[in-house]
Amino acid sequence: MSQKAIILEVNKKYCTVITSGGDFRKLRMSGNFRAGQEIMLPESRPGLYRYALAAACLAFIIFTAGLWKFWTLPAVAAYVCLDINPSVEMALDKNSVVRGVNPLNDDGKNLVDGMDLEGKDIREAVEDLVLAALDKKYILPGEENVVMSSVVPESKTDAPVIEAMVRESIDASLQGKNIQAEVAVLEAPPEVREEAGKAGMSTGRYMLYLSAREKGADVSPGDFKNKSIRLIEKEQRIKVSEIEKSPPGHWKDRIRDQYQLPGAAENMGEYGKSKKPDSRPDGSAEKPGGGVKPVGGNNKTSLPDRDKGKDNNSGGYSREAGEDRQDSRYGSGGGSRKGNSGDKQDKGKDMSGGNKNGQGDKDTGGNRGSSDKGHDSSGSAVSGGNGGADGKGGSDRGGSDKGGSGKDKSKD
Amino acid sequence: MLPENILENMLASIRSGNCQSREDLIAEFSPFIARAASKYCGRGLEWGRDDELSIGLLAFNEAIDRYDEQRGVPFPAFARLIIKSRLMDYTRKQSRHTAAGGGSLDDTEGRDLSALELSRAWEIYIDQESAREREEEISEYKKVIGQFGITFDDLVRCSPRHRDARATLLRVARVLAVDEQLFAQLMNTGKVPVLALTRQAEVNIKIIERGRKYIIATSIIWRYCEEFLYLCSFIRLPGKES
Repeated sequence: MSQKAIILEVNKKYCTVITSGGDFRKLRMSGNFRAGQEIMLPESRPGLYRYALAAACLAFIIFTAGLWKFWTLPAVAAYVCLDINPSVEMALDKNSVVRGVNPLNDDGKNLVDGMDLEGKDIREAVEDLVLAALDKKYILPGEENVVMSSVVPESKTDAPVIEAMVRESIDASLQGKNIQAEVAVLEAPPEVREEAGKAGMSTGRYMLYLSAREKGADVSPGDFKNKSIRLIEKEQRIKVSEIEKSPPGHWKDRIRDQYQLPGAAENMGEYGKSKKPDSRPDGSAEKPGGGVKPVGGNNKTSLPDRDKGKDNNSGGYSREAGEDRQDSRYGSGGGSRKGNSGDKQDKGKDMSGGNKNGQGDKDTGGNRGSSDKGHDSSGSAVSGGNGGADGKGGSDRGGSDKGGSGKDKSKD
Repeated sequence: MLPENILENMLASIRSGNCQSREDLIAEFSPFIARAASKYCGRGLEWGRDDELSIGLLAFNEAIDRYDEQRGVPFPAFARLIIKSRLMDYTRKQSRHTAAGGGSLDDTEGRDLSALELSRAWEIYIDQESAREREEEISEYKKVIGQFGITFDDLVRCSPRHRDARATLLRVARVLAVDEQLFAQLMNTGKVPVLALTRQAEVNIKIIERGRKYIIATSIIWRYCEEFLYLCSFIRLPGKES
């Protein structure tokens, strides 16, 4: 009806028209138009526009609906993991409704097979799972059963509430069947779940693993993957009801230990190893007076001077060589004193190899007298510092020179 | 002025050979013919005294026969064009008696023009003339609504989007245009007699208040249908309203 229009006004981009329906409109038109001209309104335009709009709306709704689902999926408020032997993890939304089910081992797959847990309340889901575990003989009447559950709050959720719900429903379903079981519900920080995921096991199992590690057991995550919790308890002599008492923060620490302790232990081990093999053969080969070592050791720790010298390990090695040279240059008589001064440097700087020389020398030097030592200590302290700073090449001379001056004083 | 649909019906019945309808239509339009002729001549004309009126009548009769809806010119406008054209011929002939003047395009007496050429030239003439008239009409309309402080942009802004809402306002405007008193009030005061109109058209005062400019603009078209022939015959009243 209103497909005709008369142009009232022509502007650069717009034409104002009146339609036969009496509607005044502005149309985006360009071309050679005159006022008064009768035109056909592009009839399809309003219709098409409307359809396009409707289509766009529909597309938008579908799109947002899709996105909504997408958005809500990762919006997991908490994970609840159930471990009997089957390990099943459930993702909960903020209303404690199960939004995702993830069996974490073969038994878990078997357990949830044919069950529809999504959309159920967590209490219902847990009850269903426990009853299914009964059906499928994962929980046996009259035996020692362990039902372990871990709650991992993802966002700001009330973990204790979920814990209580889970515990309640486990207890309820077990009591209903008159079954005795050790029930533990643990709260774990998300970090634990993350680590557990990396190790490919459930959060609860990973917590058991951490506890075993904590107890000093030499275990690998693989040992915890597929065994029933009951078996793990027996093997590792852990009670889930005991570890249940650990606060969530405890697990964070344990994870940190996982990364730091082993590394630290290895480093320490390296030190220890390098020290021992170095010192033993050297000491026994070069100097027979091993019995005095402890004394030297004591000296090392007690004398503050040497602390300064301790800075540089690498210097120690070079100096060791230098001392050897000194010895050869100055002869055996002076060698003792030099050795003494160098000795202190060694002890200071060298934790590893230098000791033997120094300690060996020290026996003699130490015997010389206390005055000697006093001089030496000042001289050597300085020299040690220099030597350390100079590096390998220079340290020889620096060390030797100063050793010389210290020697002179002591001679005088 | 006859509503568009009645006019169309009459034209259709005339074309099918109804002589009575032709008489009726001519009778109906005789004031229109007189006004058109007077306007062209620039003076008042009197039936029975002035030849121009007879020529106008003849022209109108011709217009009935020659009218073609496909051309996109409303019948009254078309008739007026023919009346003007015939009057032009008449005055030229008159002046040729006194002094030699140019012949009209339609003058078959002096020139040897083929019928085809004539009709083509005539069509071009009609198109050009009607286009010019349309343009004039719009600028005139713009001036008139401008006196009420209304611009086309205003109308675009306040013209109701919804067809029903528009129909209501058009109906109100029609009431206003038809009612002598109310329309005189509008022209004198420049304001829509809202309360009286509310009573007459039986619509909510708010509807009139909101569509004030739209009502003024459309009622002017209807009231001065002859001045705004193209617009008037173009805008259709929605629904079956006579």
